[in-house]
Amino acid sequence: MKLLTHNMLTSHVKGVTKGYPLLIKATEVKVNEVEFNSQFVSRMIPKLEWSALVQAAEGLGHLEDLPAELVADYENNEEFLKKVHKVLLEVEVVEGSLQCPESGREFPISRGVPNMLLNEDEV
Amino acid sequence: MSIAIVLIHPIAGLMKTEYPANIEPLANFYPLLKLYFRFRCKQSKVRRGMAGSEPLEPLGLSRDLKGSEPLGPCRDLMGSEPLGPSRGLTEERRFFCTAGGGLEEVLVRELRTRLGAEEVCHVSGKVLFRTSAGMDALRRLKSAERLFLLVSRDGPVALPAHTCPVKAASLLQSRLLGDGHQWGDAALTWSRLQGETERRGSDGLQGATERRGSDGLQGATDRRGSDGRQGEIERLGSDGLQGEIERCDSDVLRGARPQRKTGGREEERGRRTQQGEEGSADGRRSERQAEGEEAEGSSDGVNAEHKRGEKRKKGGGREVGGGGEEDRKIMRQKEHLSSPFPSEALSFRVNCKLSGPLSRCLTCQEASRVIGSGLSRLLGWRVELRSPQLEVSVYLSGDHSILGIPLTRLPLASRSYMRTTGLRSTVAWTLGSLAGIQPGWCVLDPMCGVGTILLEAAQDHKDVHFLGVDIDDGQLQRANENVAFADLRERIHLMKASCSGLPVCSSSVDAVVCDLPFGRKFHTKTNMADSLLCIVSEMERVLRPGGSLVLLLSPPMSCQLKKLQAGPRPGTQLPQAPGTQAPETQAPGTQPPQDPQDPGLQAGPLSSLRLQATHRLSLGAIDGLVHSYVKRGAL
Repeated sequence: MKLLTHNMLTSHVKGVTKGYPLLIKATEVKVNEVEFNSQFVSRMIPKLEWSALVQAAEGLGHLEDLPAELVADYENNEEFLKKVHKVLLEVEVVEGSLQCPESGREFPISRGVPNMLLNEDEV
Repeated sequence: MSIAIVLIHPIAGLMKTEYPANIEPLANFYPLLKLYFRFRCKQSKVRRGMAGSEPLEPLGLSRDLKGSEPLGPCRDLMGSEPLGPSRGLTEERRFFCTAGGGLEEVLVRELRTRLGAEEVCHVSGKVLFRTSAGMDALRRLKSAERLFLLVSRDGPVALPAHTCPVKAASLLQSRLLGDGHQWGDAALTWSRLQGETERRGSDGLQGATERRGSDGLQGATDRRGSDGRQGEIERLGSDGLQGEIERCDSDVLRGARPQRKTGGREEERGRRTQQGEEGSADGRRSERQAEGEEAEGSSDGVNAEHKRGEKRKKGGGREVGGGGEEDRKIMRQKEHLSSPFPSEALSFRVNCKLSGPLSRCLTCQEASRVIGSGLSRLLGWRVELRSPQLEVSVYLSGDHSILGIPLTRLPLASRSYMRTTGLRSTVAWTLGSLAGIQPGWCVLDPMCGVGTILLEAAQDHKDVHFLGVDIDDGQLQRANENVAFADLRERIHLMKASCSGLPVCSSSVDAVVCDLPFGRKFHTKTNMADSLLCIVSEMERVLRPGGSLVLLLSPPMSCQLKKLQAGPRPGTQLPQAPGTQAPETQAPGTQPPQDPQDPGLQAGPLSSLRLQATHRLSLGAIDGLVHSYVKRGAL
């Protein structure tokens, strides 16, 4: 699971009103080099929940000095975009789990694919 | 009884042709004699070295030499600089593609927007067009099944009632085959287009990709096995070594090449060149081949061979087998350079499809045979059923007769980047294209299966984040392999979840594209209406206002969904919103959603989805319906 995906994920366990952001408990993290595409990154940034990204990156120890607040004029800041690129697309949680902040329900991540499936009684 | 015609030329030698007596020999003879004479004239000039000093008279192939191809093959014969890669690109040619049922209009749109094609028209299952685009662009067509060079398009061949087979045969021949010019031209264009793939680029990539590319194709075709080449393709082996692939390629296509007489080295190189034509959608392979070829050529040490190798590379596929007199001329060229005599004519086979009244008097095999023998007599081509150099496809129906030459060995629909195919690639691409994906979007497929739709869309859209969700581990596993194979890991992300409870925030994705399962594989406890409502309203929830939703549905599901939607009038600006949570009751609501933040809450489910269009597609045994919606509200 890449942090770009994590940034969108939320938990819908019954009764949970704000299952976001999910807490990452990683047991295996991999960093794969991915070709940098500044267009892609700068187009993704406005869609991100920035604080959730920073929090997740920090938790994994791959913060890459990302500021707590999104910098202005990031489109032209290639250095910044490269950092975001790395955090968003290169850092990958291979094994571990995601925890719902409200209910504490854990969703396992196995071989990079998070399993967000709920049991019937949780829906 | 038969009539033999022998032509004698002081330099070029003998040519003997036999005709069965029951076919009017003169009608066939005159055009042939004309072509033959002109061809020999050119040849003898070349051989005597006259051609070097003066431009050759445009003779038999005047249209090609004079107009579009002022530096046609004759110049090559004279040893001048071969054609540059840009040549031929400005030339407009007529093509046609076959397309799945219902995809014709999609293909028409694609042809117009991507290739700027002109004179685009479609008949059932086929789209005819004119374009100057090269093979690269043509190969990248996504909604077409197969690509053909158009030789001729005509009205239907009408056979009078109770026609005897011989009459039917001669009628077919006289109506369809013309005087041979068009075939010679077509074969020349064909070989040039094959060469275009070959010639392209010299900045190669590494060998691994090459094998990958071909593997992919084989994989895709193995599974599909659509055009009876299964055997050959399987022989290619899934992970075969380079040599293996080469050998098999040559089995398939090279079998009848004249060059095979000139020794192993040459032959191998021939195969390599040929490989480019059949294989990869992106031509990366051929680039490398060209490079490899060059290296080989220079280390070869055999001068003549080197020369020829280079000629083939730069000069395109002319040697691969121009048609008719072209072909012979090309062989002459070789003869001129080293080998003693022109060996064999271009080999071909005819693949005929009949429908309408014609199919009641002739079988496909009979028609193929008739046309095959006619062409063979007209042009001197050699019929070769197993592994011909060129294939002639003939489509005869009650409405039209379309004759063409396939330009790719594998259908365009077999994608080199797909390892496991789910939905037909053309349909998958169409779904993505209907979503109107824009750069920066996040696109979700909540039932992605092996990821076909996402993979197709990701080929076209570089700056888009794709999210695939499936509930089945096996499917996800295969999707994962597919994504890795297509090298799209950075753009396509997968997760396991149920489509009725998507783990993403509301209004967070820009497009949802989905092929809903047709079978009764839904939750068995609930009926179709309930599960459909549940699934589609979940899609509606995650979609941002202004986002698009494209669904592939079975016909019953399509009806059901239309019923479920509050406004039963598709395409209306403001479908009425139901007042209750049970839309089946169709309680007339009064309030169209006002709140752009959450239109779904005020009105009933699905009421924010505005139906844009429905398309009916054929999916083989069954039909499917594509619904495309836009979620209403502010952007």
